Amino acid sequence: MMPRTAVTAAAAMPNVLSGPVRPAAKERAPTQNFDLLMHTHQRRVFRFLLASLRDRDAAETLTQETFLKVFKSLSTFRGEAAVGTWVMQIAVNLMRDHLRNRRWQFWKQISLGPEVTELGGLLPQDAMTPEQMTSAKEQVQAVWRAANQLSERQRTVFLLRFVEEMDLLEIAAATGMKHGTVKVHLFRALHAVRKRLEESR
Amino acid sequence: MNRCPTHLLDHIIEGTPEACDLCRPQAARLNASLELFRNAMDRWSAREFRPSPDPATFPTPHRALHWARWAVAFAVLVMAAIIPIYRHEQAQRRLADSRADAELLQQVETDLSQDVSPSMEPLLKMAAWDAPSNPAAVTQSEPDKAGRKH
Repeated sequence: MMPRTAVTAAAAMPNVLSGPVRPAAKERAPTQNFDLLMHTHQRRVFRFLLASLRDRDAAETLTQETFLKVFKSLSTFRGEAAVGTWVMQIAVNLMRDHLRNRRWQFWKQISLGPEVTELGGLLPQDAMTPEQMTSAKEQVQAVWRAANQLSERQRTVFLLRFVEEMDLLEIAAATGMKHGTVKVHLFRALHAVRKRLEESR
Repeated sequence: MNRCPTHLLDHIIEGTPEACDLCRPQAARLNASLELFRNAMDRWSAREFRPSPDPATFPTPHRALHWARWAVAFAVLVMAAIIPIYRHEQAQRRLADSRADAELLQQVETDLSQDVSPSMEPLLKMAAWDAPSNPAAVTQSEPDKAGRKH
């Protein structure tokens, strides 16, 4: 597995960014904390929202809304969960609201992200032979197609686990589901992805 | 095909390091595919990402819709005030129309109930005075008049 971007970034930051707020961190000015927090988690939140919604503009707007909510409620954050999980929880809730509203806005044209063929071009091309590249493209396309066909909950837990590399307890906290429920959704999602991958091979 | 898919998926979901010999190669392949997918998603988001400079400048929907909400509220109030007035006006007009219709109908009925119009009433009296008392006499004299012409 690749190192987690968020964890790597958080390692260079004070503890406030990777775990529950400590007393020393609480003494910082809220805006100072916020700048660090945003710097650490903004890309991660955007990546999750982009992968979930497949709509760049919506992902950007919801990322901004997420951090606006974080900014407003930073002083009331009780530190029961890691800050990263709390931020992701806000993002997940906003994403759900957005998807609920999008169902009623059927007249709007929604861009559904890059084409499956385009996704393959996002892989690092210098590190692979042409054969490996072709195989890698096919695998990415198969996972992307399978992820698109998952239910909203399954896709959310799948992306949180395999794109954001959160563990099951963090996903449970971020989505408000029970640990067992997360596992069931993840199991089904992974089963569908594996099936699609085997079909493509 | 793996004979223990549940074990395999559990291994991947939980991220446990131990996997049976049967699972290990398939788990490695599935993990590699998921890793490629993660890389693709990471690169895609990196390509599309534009950092927001300052949270104070976020164009939030609340701010953007602030004036729109006031405008909608004002429009609703105006409509709420205008609609009863308009309905009252409509009702008054309908009442006046029905009164006018009733008057016209009354007048028509009065006119129809008269034998002749008021201007012709003196002539009617004269005709009544000239008319024979026996209508049968009038019917008998008609053929005589016709015979005299010939």
